Amino acid sequence: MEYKCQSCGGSMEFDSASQKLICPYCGASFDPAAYDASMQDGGQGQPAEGQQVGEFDETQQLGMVNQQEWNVNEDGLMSYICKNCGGEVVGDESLASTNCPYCDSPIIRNDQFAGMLKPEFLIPFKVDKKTAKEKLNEFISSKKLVPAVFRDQKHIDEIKGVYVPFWLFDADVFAEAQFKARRSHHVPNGEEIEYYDVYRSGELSFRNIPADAASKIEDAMMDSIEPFDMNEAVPFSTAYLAGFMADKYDVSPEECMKRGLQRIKSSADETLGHEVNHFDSHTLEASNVVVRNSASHYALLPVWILNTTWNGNQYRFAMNGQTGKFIGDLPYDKSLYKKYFLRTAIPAILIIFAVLFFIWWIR
Amino acid sequence: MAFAILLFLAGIFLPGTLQAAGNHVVDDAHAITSGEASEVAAMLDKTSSAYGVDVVIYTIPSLGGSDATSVADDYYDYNDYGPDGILFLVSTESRQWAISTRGTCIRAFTDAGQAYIIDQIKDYMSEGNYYSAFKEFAKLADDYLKQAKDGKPYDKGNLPKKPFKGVRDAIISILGGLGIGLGRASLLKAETKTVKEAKNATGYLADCQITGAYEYVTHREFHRIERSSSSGGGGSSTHTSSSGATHGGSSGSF
Repeated sequence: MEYKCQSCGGSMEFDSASQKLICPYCGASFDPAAYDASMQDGGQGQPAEGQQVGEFDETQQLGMVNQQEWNVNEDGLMSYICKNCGGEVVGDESLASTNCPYCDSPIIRNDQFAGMLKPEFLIPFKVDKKTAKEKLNEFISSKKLVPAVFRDQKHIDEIKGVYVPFWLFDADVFAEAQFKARRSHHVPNGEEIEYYDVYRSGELSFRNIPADAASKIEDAMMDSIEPFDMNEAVPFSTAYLAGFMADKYDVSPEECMKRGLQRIKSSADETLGHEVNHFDSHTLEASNVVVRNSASHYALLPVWILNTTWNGNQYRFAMNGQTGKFIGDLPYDKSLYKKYFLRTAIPAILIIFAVLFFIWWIR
Repeated sequence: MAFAILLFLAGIFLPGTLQAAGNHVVDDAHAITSGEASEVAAMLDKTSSAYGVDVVIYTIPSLGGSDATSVADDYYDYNDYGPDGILFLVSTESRQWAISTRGTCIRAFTDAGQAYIIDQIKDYMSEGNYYSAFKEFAKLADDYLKQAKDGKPYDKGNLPKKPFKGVRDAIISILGGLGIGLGRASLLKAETKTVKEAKNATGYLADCQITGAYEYVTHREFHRIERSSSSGGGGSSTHTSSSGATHGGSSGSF
């Protein structure tokens, strides 16, 4: 689907600064939700009034792409001819939103989000591409051990704004844990130590635990850009996708829930552990979690993904498209490591020696 | 004339008879060489005449079942030393030592003061380095007597300043400094890795109601704490030896 400007017909894109669909040609802007509602609802499962089911009126669709317009190639990839420039756009089975590689017009595969596949909500991009690039440089500069050559190159292979599909889990659980604890106190002539068995249980409620539902995107990277502020989530509308990439999910909620459950168990142990007070120390012996009820929500969350190549290796970075939190693993320079080591160790040795001497001297 | 020659010859061929009376180093256990003995004796002679006391070091191979203190007391009493003095006894085989003090030296070498001296030379004795132990003893004895002469004998709360342990402190500084350096460099290296799998869901906990909490004692342990006994506010403890004289002193093993 291409979002055509209702004033001049140009392809519109979603602008994070204003949170609206903007036409880069004539400058007109539209509220995404309102725009979507005013369109014919071919891909969303509900035909507009006067339309028969299964019939599309192209002039009124304003650039929506039907399932039929995507051809499946021999290698399993899907291709489509861009209505704006005639170029061929290729994507895999999960592709939902992209830009034409030739003319950059946004193209959205409406059916990817049809019916059961429709996300419940999404969080719109709040941080734009320019900021993402700036943040990358800031990020790299702030890490002291990054080799100077890497820092100076400022070469970014690729930067793309992606709506990553997530499963967000709600869970109400019963958690219990068994601890061993000890407490000591002074008595005449010595010290008494008491050893305890401690039991704690509780009903815990978790909301919106995120789990990355796209197999091609590294789970750890998505974990690291958490948290997202769910208060800024809006009901799903394909209009927000214009200008950004999106994939539909290809990992089932059950698969993702396994990791969710691990995180829940960990938090439950920690939370119950905090309830063990008035002891000198305690250790966890055993614990158990029973899920009373759970729900999963399908949502698209905004992420800027950047790639750069250096010394034959690929480095990927991700930035939370809502909060701007930036993460990514960087190489480190061994000689810089040595430099900082010596720069800290030598003064430390001298200072410690001076302090020891001083202590002896004033005795 | 002949008598003079006889006396002269006796002086050369019977050195054993010149042993006691005033000899400050008596090394029956051959713990040190004669050269070392002369050196230490010279130090003790100087100190003894300076302060009008007798500072003696006496080594024997084995105590032969007697206790170190009595041996030390008796040797001092029955060998023509002055009324004021200190004797340091070392038994190389039994690995025991004793200090015996008499007269003014009782006050000059208090219990706490003696403990300090032993503390300083203990390691030398344990490793068999008696030469260094005796030299150190001689130096300290001189210092102690000087302090006593000035009216401030070393006692609890007024002990000599321990020497600066340069090598030990240098090693501590180096290890500590290297540790800090390593810590900082490792921290900076860790900064370059920001991708981590999330281990828990703490930020997503909306509500928590504790429904069960109980604890019970499984067992108890009692640890006695020994209070180290100290001789109150310092001073010197004394006892009476077999000769009836009053001696101060202490003993121990090494």
